[in-house]
Amino acid sequence: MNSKNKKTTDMSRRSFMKTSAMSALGVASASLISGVAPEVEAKTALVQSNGKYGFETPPSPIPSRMIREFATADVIVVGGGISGVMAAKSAQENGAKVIVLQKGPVVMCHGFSMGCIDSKIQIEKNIRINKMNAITELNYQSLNKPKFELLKLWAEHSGETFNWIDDMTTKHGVKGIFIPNAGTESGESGGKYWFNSYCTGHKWKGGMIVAINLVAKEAVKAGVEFRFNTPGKQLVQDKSGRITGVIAKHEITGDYIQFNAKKGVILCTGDYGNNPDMLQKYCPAAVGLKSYYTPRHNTGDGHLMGIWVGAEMENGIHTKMAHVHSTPDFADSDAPGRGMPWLAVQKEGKRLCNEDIPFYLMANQTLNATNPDGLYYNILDSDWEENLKQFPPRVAGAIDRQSFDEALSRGLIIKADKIEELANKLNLPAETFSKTVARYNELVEKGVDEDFGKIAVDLSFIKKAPFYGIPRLCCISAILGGININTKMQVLDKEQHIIHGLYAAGNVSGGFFGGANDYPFPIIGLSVGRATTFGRLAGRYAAKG
Amino acid sequence: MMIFTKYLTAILSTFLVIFSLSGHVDAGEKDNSSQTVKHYYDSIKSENNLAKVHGDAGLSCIDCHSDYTAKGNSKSDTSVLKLKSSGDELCLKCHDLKEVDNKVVYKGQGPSGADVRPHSQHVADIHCATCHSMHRKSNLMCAKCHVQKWMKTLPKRWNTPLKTEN
Ligand code: HEC
Ligand code: HEC
Ligand code: HEC
Ligand code: HEC
Repeated sequence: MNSKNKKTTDMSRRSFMKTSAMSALGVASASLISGVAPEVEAKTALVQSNGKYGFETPPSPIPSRMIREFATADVIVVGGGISGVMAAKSAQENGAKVIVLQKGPVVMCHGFSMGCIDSKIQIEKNIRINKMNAITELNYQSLNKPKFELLKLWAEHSGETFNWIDDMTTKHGVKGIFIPNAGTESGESGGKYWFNSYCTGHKWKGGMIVAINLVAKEAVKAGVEFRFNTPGKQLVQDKSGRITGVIAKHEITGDYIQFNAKKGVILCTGDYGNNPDMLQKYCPAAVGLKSYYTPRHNTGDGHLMGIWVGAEMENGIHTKMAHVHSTPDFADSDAPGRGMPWLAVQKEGKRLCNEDIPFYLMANQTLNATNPDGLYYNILDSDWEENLKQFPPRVAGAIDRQSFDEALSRGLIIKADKIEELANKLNLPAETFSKTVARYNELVEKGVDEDFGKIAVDLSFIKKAPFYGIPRLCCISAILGGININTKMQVLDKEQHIIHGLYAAGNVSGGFFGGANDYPFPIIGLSVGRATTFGRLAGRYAAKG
Repeated sequence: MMIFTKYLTAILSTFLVIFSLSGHVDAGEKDNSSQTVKHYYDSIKSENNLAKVHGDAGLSCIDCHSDYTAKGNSKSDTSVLKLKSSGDELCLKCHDLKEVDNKVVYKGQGPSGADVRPHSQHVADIHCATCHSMHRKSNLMCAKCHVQKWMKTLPKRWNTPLKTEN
């Protein structure tokens, strides 16, 4: 991965770098002039002299004279996403007075399916997944890097966590649903290359956002206080090293507010996919890919607050979750049929790889020096519906005539009568592209993929006009690496000692995926499953102090 | 029921100010320095403003602003325009949030086909004025993070929803 010297084509990243460089300059000159203003904001630009990133140096503590308001609760949860909302509700149920600090104006999260084992629905349907087998497979696919005890904790508590959430959402008329067609009870779902999965997925109509919103409503009803536009900035640590609170900065008024925690602070700030410097340092394999999600609130705030008080970051390189979409805006729906094994070509018009490679690994072939932006193109012909009957079933984006036509009318699928014309419309070099298609047809004819070894049943001709191209864009959903925790969700320092009073859950916490390059899929919905399960546990442990 | 009686008092009070209102409009037209104030008067008739719905319902300035009959309508005379209550409280004098929430439902129009309820979609820090504006075009704050289909069907009094979080 030669990410260091490659050209960055991501506009958002480029402009981010520009503003961060400028704001760093701004801070420097402001403090030159006043001579006294402490640099209480994290620096974002790379510090050249010691080779360290600006964010690695803790900013000066925010002095108490700058604090406009003090508030106290038993538990302060920093972040109002999946794990934060769960932590808050669970801490409240365990007797704590809770305040949640949220960046921006709304409770929000991403994600669609929650992975768990032994939910009440699975048990009703008599689906009994062997927990040890499932996490052993996960551990293997994660190259034996995870902390196994954390995987076990998820396996033990995920089912009950689903039930707990579902009881709350059902009160509001929204019932959780088991996803029956992604994976199987045995973990064998038929595909060697396109991946096998355990059927762990559960969802609520509308996605996790709907579920956490209802849990948040229940939390508010039960007395949990949400403070919006109030992102945490620095932890407050006493002489013994214990974390006693967190200082937030109001995004609109600019005021600093100190929240004292009698029992604990729980970091639930999500990932750092929108912090270019952290990506560069901890997950260079993701540099060059666009981030799928806005708002860009996931800037690793909790990771940074943690390392500034001595928390140890999980060893890099961190695990990335890069999935296939059509545009980098989650509010646009994607073209259908991602993960179907039609010919895939890259920007130079050459074939990308064995198209049976699961969609969550496709990004890796789009990051070479000449093609560093996550783009590739599926190429199909007018027989595509016939092809679908030929391909064995797999975990892939649904596709039918209606969704196809809709994507065509929105320009997410491109149509042409000739291969050369398709090349032009897709902006691919026509000559190379034509050769690639001709070679592919030759392989289909032979019934052997001599070039990439795809199984024969997944080869299909591209001969019958009109032809179609579907641009696919691999984007970052999340980076799954964080500060180390123990099985009580307590944050650990470099000597594996507990930093008392500090907890972490969800993507800000580490050790679970272990840094195995890509988020694996033997367990459907695992990332959300971890965030919910560990958020709930963190709330319980913190409330008990 | 509650809201109905509130309307009644609101509408009754309208009758009391009809005369003074027309007087002010005249004064406004003569006074060049009160262009801005004129805009407020016009807003009660303009499709571009939420004020119009209220005007059409028979309400007038005094239903929301107190001290209305004070001397003039020059720009500097803010006493004329003092709101009867501030923030959400004003709107909630006449509107019941629960009722509004149950009424404003975009059925099946969420990205995944679920219903959308702008007034309760996310647990959030939102006030009426976060979105609604009486004398200017309203701004749907929801759009800043994601533009969805239903947002493009709002009445003319709303600005075109734009995604600003990039
Ligand atoms: C239904 C309630 C309502 C009615 C009726 C109404 N207003 Fe307002 N007015 C408001 C609100 C709320 C504001 C605060 C800003 C906003 O929402 O646009 C306001 C603001 C103003 C302001 C600006 C004052 C400031 O300090 O910002 C002026 C001037 C004004 N109104 C004039 C009028 C006039 C003149 C009328 C009658 C033609 C009128 N309003 C009718 C609710 C109302
Ligand atoms: C004095 C009473 C009163 C106050 C104060 C008031 N309204 Fe209204 N509002 C009404 C009436 C009456 C109507 C028209 C009848 C209806 O449609 O409910 C109306 C209509 C509306 C409508 C449009 C409904 C439609 O049918 O399109 C909206 C939106 C609205 N109000 C918002 C607000 C907001 C926001 C505020 C506060 C800034 C506010 N109102 C303050 C009485 C009031
Ligand atoms: C997040 C943006 C947002 C906020 C905040 C918001 N509204 Fe609305 N409201 C809407 C939209 C969108 C509509 C539907 C379009 C319209 O009628 O203008 C609406 C419609 C209404 C209506 C008309 C209901 C009907 O009968 O059709 C009323 C009344 C209303 N809102 C009152 C309020 C009050 C009172 C508040 C504050 C407590 C509030 N709104 C806060 C977005 C918002
Ligand atoms: C700070 C950013 C932000 C703001 C502001 C915001 N949202 Fe959202 N919204 C999100 C995120 C993030 C999601 C989840 C997207 C995902 O699933 O990945 C979401 C999801 C949704 C969904 C999808 C739920 C479903 O059923 O599929 C709806 C509908 C929605 N928001 C409506 C609104 C409305 C209405 C407002 C204004 C009151 C609003 N949003 C304001 C960030 C925001």
